[in-house]
Amino acid sequence: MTVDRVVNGFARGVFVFLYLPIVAVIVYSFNAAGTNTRFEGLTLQWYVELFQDAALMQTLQTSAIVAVITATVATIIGIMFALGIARYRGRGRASLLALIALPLIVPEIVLGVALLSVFSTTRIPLGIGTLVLGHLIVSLPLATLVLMSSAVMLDPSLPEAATDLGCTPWQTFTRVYFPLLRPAVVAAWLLSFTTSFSNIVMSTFLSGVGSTTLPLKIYSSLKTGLTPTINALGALLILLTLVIVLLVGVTQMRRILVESRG
Amino acid sequence: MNTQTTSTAASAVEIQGLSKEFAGHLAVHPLDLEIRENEFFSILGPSGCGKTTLMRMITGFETPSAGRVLLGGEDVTGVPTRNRDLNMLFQSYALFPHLTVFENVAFELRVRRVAKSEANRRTREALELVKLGHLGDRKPDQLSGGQRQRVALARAVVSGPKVVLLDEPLGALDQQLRKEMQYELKRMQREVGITFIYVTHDQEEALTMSDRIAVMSEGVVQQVAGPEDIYNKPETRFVAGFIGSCNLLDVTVPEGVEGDVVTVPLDGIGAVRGVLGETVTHERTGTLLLRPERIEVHRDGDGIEGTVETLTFLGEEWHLHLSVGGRLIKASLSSLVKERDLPGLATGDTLRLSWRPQDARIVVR
Repeated sequence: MTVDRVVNGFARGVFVFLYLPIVAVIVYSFNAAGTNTRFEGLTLQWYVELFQDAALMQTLQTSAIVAVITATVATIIGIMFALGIARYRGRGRASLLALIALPLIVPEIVLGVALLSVFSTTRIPLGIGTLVLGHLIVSLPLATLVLMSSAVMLDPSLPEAATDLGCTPWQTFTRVYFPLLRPAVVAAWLLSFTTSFSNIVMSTFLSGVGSTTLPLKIYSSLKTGLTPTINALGALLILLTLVIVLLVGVTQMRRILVESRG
Repeated sequence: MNTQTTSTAASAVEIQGLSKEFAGHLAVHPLDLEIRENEFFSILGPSGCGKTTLMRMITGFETPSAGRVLLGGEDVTGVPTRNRDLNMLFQSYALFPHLTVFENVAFELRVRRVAKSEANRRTREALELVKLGHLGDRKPDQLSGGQRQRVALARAVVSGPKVVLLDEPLGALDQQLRKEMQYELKRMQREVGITFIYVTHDQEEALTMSDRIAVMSEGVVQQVAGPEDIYNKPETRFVAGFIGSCNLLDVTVPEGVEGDVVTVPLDGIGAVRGVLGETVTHERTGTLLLRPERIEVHRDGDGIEGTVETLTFLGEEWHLHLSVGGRLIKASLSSLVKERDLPGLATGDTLRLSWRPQDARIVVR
């Protein structure tokens, strides 16, 4: 009984620790006082300032563009990797898998330095392009692994059946592979998106003048002190995440419910 | 378009010198085979005999190392699977899990852009054929194994292909359902009038359903014949041993003899009579094939003497193992005959064995 009670209390504590900062960010985004140390009533002032802060909005835009391109490219390449490897049973399969997962193990800072030296020797200007390339290195393995776990579950006869029933390779993809992998595709895209959106290490090395990302901007603003506009931005991002999770969650739940019916 | 017509119109599939080599090993030796229109044709053999490879070369999933595949008289060797007028029923059924039963069956018609009303009508007909018209809205994972099998069959025949290939389709079903499906498959094949090529390792399935059977072993077609001839007139030792139960007795075939009844010496037993399957020009070692149910046993009279070693009751019949001159020979006896002619039969009894010469076939392969 006492053990149960301790475990119960501990679990509650973990939840408080996880969610208290998030709640705090939201509460302080409405704080009339200009600092995070005391609370002086409600205001929407910081939200107004947030949308008037052109520099901050610029970094948000950069982050969003980079994250969307990264997530899309990583998902497309990930699908190809996953389908290829799921069907490939020959020699070197294990080493191929290890090669794909390698960027997850190598410290990001090493990859960042390496990429920067590549770009500077080849005189490729830093900007959104280099950011995307850098973020791809960290998000591609994630996307591939997520997609592969779904791809290996598919009956290898399915593509043969599609071919037999008249499908070209592209039709096999659109009519069979893609619908069956769709949940994994959504998961891989979202995972790649958030990985890119919140990335700091790669971005530190690879962002150029005028292509500062949001996390970099927030990090650098620490030096001048966190303004409540950052809280407002944080609250909006949390809201956005919540909406996406709910949307994905609801469609997933519906799928599960439909499939378990009967 | 390559349209070399070298066959008569009545052949659905013609295979000419087809072979497949995997890493220096011949999985399918060069072979010729003709499968007629509207035929229920089985390719029978143990696992690893090359039957699946042969089937995959007919569908186009596997590229032959040599030889040609003709479909309806047309060379399709280089034609991709999707353009071959044949469909396959996969062992795993390979139903698309994200589509309903109706959508699965309609799949090919939609891919091939058949007009919607026409496609729907034919899909409904195919579902009626397999008696699943009422389950069109279900997803495959809401069906039983037998129902999935029917959906897969409906999907394979819906476009009216020239040939349907079935890859061990009854393997995943339980015994009772297998029997039922054997008759169902045969009925549906007659109803749709499509050539079925049925690949199986189950000799009973092949015997009950097929018009003709090709028995394969180690990449070689051993014999092609109707079920009765495959069973009663096996041409090789392998065919006799693989299909049903058979006594395989080593004999030496003297040269020069042919055709009719010959007498060959059998070690430890003496001269026995049988029919020779083919002309032998040199003295060769052969096998005398003798089905257990073709052996008559008596208390006395003519015949070879044997001692009952084991006696097993199987319901409609009894199985006997008889020791004859140091060899063990299998014989079977219907329950009626045993009760009537051999009351009180027990192990250790001495019996006389005899058979008609035409029931003992001698083959040299």
